[in-house]
Amino acid sequence: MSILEVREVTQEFGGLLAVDKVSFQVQEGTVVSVIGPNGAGKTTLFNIISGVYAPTAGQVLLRGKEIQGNKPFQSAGLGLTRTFQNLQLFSRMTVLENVMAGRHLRTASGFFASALRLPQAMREERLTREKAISCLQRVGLEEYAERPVTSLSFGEQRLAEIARAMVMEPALLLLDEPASGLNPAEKIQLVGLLRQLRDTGVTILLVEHDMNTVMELSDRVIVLYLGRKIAEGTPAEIQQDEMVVAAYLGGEKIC
Amino acid sequence: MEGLASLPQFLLVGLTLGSIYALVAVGFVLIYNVTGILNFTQGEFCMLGAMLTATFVRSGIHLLPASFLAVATVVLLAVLLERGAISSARKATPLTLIFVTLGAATAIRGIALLIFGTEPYTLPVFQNLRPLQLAGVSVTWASLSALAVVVVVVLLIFFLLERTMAGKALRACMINKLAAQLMGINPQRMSLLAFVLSAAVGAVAGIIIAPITLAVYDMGLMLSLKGFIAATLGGLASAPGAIAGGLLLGVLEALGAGYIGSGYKDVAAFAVLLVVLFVRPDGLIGAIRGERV
Repeated sequence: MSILEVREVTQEFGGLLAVDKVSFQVQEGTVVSVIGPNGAGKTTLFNIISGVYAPTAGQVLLRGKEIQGNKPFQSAGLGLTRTFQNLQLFSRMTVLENVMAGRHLRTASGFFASALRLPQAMREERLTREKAISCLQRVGLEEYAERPVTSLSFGEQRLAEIARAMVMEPALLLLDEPASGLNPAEKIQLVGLLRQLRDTGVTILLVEHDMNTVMELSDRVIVLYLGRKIAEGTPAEIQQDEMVVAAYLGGEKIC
Repeated sequence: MEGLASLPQFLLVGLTLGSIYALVAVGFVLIYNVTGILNFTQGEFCMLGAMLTATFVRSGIHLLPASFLAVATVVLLAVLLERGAISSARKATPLTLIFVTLGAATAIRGIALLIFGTEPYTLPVFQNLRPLQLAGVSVTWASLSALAVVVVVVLLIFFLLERTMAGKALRACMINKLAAQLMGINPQRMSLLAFVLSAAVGAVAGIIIAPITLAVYDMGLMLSLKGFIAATLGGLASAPGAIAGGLLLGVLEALGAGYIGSGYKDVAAFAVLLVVLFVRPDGLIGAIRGERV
């Protein structure tokens, strides 16, 4: 069953077609990568799917429900979240607090209930804390839990952002260049982590430049070039696709 | 000219006053960081808290229920203000919305004048008790209870913001609205929450200042300005910064009034604002920031 369907989505910025009638589907429980050279419209596409932009035309369906033009928090409520290429963390919070904030939708106490029943709200907070710590263990950041998130290296911050998305237990997770800024060891860890996530039933849509990561992880690959989808297929098919090779690597073979 | 001997007395007066500014400043910071608006009805929340409590007490209600009733009324008004004037105009620029709050403040003050008149109201609290003498410092019970209430309110705010999930959501929204939204945090609900919390804290500030300075219908404007200065001193970014800014401002004012002359109390406050804006526009506490770009 497809969890996400993008139908003829178009995004214009003052006459520039950043995304041009792009359509594709993402099957539940798979990893799909969007690749393409810089300026291909990958991040714009992510911004549309996650509700940062409303598309000029076209539809985005999450489990058959139209979500284009939704506010990001509405889509998050439907089980969709994302990470960012340049990171969007809560800068004045600790690593642990960042991850805990990701649990917002899974906790019940409203603010007023919290004010009136502070002990209960504090108990809920402690339970969330445990949940967040177990997520930090999975990404290997539990030692840094109490440190300010800005004190972490770029790669560690990236993992913290992924942990924050994981703790939400989303149905569909959009990752914008998760491997960029990671060292080779961290990249291997990331691939393992994303596989694990997929095996727990999370569908992953990924924008990525690191071809090793893409080819290792993806069930399907979508290639964008100048805002258009020029190819879609399994990693093996994409590596053989001459149009992709020409457009993307100027004639060189991928990998 | 006063000598050094009066310093502890001035400090106490300053801390009492400063703790009230701190509460007003917390209201400013909460709303500013969630919505981008400087809410100049903040001082009117204090005024209403004070005037309503005094009115209820006059009509024979006991102080504690009168205070609760006043806080609840102010909170209700804040909800109406946020939903009616701010939320419905949220597409407007922050500058426009700031003018909306200034207009609302003027309207509230005008209505208060019609209802309460121009006479100052007293709020008799611990009036019959003699001030305590502690190491040569005369401590009135009103100022002692004010400090105690502020400590309790600050602790409560701390626990709400730091130790509950709802507080984390509010802080997340204050720091990074986009990321907060992707966690499913609804910014409009957070805006309402910020107004409610600020109104409640503001009303409490008004109630505790009333026994010390009397309550008048037009006390809100100056409190708004002082709270704004305090929040700016703290960098307009966090509740702890706002509290520190408030205490600092109160002490500076008391020292200015004590050593230079009571007419210079407000001069000290605004001079501090100017210096901070010229020298450290990020606030005295806002300097320890560094964001990746």
